[in-house]
Amino acid sequence: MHNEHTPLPVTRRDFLRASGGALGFLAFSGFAPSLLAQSALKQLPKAEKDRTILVLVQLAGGNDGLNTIVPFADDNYYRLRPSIGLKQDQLVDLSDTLGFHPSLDPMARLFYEGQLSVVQNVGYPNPNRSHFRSSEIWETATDSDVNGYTGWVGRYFDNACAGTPTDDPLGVHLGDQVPQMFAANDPHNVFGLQARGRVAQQEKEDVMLLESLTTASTKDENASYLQHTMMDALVTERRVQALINDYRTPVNYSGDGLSQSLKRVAALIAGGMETRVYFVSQGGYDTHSNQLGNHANRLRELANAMSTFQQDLKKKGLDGQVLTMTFSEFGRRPSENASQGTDHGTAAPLFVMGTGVRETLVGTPASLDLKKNQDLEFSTDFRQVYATVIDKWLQADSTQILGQQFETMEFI
Amino acid sequence: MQAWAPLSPRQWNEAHARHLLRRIGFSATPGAVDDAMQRGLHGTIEYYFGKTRPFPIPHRVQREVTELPKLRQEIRTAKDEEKRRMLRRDERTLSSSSYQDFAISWLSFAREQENSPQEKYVMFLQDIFVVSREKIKPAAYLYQHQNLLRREGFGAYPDLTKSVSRSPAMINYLDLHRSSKKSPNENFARELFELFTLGEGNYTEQDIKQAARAFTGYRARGSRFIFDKNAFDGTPKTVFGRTGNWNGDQVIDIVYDQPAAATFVPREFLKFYLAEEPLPEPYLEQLGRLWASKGYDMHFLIETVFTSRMFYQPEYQGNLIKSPIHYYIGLCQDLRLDVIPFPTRVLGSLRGMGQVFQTPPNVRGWVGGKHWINTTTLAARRQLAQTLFNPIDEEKLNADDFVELQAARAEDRADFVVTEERLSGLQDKSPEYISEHFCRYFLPASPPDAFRDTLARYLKSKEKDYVEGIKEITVAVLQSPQYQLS
Repeated sequence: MHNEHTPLPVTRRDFLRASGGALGFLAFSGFAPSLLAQSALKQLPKAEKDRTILVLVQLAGGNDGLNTIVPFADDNYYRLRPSIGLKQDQLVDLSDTLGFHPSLDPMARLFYEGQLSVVQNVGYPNPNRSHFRSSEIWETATDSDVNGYTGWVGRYFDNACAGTPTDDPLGVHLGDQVPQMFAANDPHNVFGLQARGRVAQQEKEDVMLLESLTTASTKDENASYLQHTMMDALVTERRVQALINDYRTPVNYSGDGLSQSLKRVAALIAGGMETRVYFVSQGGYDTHSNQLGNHANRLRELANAMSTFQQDLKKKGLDGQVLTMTFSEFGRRPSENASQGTDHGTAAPLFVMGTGVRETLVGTPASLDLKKNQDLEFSTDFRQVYATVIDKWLQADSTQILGQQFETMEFI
Repeated sequence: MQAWAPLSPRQWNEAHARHLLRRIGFSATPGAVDDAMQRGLHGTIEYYFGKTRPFPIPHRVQREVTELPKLRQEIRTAKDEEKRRMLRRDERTLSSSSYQDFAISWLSFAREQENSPQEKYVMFLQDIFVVSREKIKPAAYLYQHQNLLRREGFGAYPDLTKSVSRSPAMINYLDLHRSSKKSPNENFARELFELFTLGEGNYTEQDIKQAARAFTGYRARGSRFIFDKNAFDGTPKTVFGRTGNWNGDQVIDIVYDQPAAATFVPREFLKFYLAEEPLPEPYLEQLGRLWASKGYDMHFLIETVFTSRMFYQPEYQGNLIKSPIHYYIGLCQDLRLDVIPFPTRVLGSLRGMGQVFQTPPNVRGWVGGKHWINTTTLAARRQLAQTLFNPIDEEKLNADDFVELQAARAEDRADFVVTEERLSGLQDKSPEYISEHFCRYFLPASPPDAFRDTLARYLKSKEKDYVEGIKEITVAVLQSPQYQLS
């Protein structure tokens, strides 16, 4: 029990006491109404409809690259992985020396149709093996000895999307935390929604009430920023709710989180949201023990979700507009550990999916001529991948956004 | 010196008291405002900052302190991988239960109104001397570090800086434990200059390289500081143009001869408590000179700023964005609620609002201000306000939460949500009255008439279910942009 007096009465006496307070506070009234809140509601002209969209798929935990794209022709692979090495006859053909993990069959088909590119052995110098720190490096796109605050997508918003006349969020993420990739110097409209489950009804009276309170505006800068963001949130929530609940698609998404996330992304894209970047995440890649079964399940979910999403976009005629890319904070150690798993490592391949794909196998594979517990040496800097996407897909200036010039690649 | 001259006692009024309480703490409840009026401005500062209020080590943190070293020893000596894996799992469980206890205990402690200003000040210091659970997993070390700031944070800042350089959490967080004469690690030296004392642009890369050598040999054995003489580089170094066989403490003394040191902490302090935008340099320089002349005493800085005329300027009122922790604790105080003892729920809510307990994203700490706010975090704030009005369904609680609930009740903490019974205390009041009442007490600045009218009109439309209507407008006020400000 607290014996404090608070604005909400505890007893009648408390209430009488509380309401006997001075009126001195009212002296600050007299704010001019701002136009901000109105402008958030107003329908502004739409930006061009054929702008490109990027979907980022995070494989959280550190995906084991060597068991994703398997270098079966290299004896070193089986030397380093006597018990969890995948046999050649299990694999789905990729090239003379490489095979897809058997779970990735649906993605292999996209590969053969020229809609999926495998970027080999992506990493960065002086690798860090902490999940947190390495994710941060990937998300901020800095050198590994620099602590960045802003994310590369956030800097893209800062640089290329200032003043874009749209009510829609620039970035949408699935899940309850804003990814650091979206962290920017300037505030932008980014929106988060749950990966799955019911989308809350927003037409209820109490939401309308909050909306009215929000339009009652003030002139202070932080206050109007809050107001603006709240209005964005309420307007976007309503729009998102309608788009997701009304979404009809002929394809069948599975029930797992990633599939459901991508279904939502498809609904928003098909609904004409002018969002440029979507962020979804799949967990479970931190395979320290009993890796084989777990990893196979994760990759199966991934491949099903990605290929269903692509099929969906195609049926809606949107596949030309969307590029989907995976990333993970690191790959795993080439040598297996004593628990039939693998520990934190360095470089790994990533996938780029879309009809915009050009070359389907880029970069060079890692050398496996390694001692026990030695790590892979990356051959493609992850920022080359970003630079390619920024310059060629998002049509922005990668040197400005990444702070350095990186050689672009030919996957798009 | 006018700006930092004290507010005249004749000018002390309720509006000032509310402003002060919201800024140094998390709310301005009518009871606290009454007390502040009785104590006067100086008396209020003395009451809240005059003595340190100890925050006792939470039980499960204490358990971690005793059990972690044993467990780690077992892990080191374990024969096979399987055994080690099991022990590591035990270690994680131990640390996570300790962390949860730390979170709930601290929130409950900071929620007690008399502790709030001290704990908010500790949050300020933690935002300078950043350590994070991202890297330091044992809550015991995080607690120890926080407690160091609480214990020594009111004295001379250079002394505090020296103590922090010996804090085991800091030693691990900024890699001092890897720094030796052979390969000095520059991480700590860099942050010492950039983030603790001087700020960017006031040192050279050469100063960092040289200073890093003075901090070699700092080690932590569990929660104890140890100086490893053999790893220390005792040869001459030149830092800020001064050459000698400096050790770490001496480097910190040299730092405090740099002019930038006088304004760095005051600038951060004002940014945290007064305004997001930096004050004009002349004001800062004045404050810095005063602070330096008092040996960089933090109690002096606190007292000077919070009693100054500057602090009560109208343009500095009601326009700072509350941090998620401020929002959370402020709600508990404004609604007279105890912190709900369900760690998963509380920590999840803080995560959603963007402030994971004791886990700032990087060495810079929380950026704060507008960066707290986006549509995602606002949704989480709205969700939190809403849940404080939903009854707890005890049937659906999991076993852990049920035990926590019983334990909290045994300690006489039992008010976790606003009940209908309390709301009905207002049911004989008019819509206009209630609307005015909420605006006056919940909001840091008087809202425009349209805000009040909207509330009153809404409540009027709810005649048939008046108590429900009162609940809905209370929630809406607490969710409104205006309530996010302090």
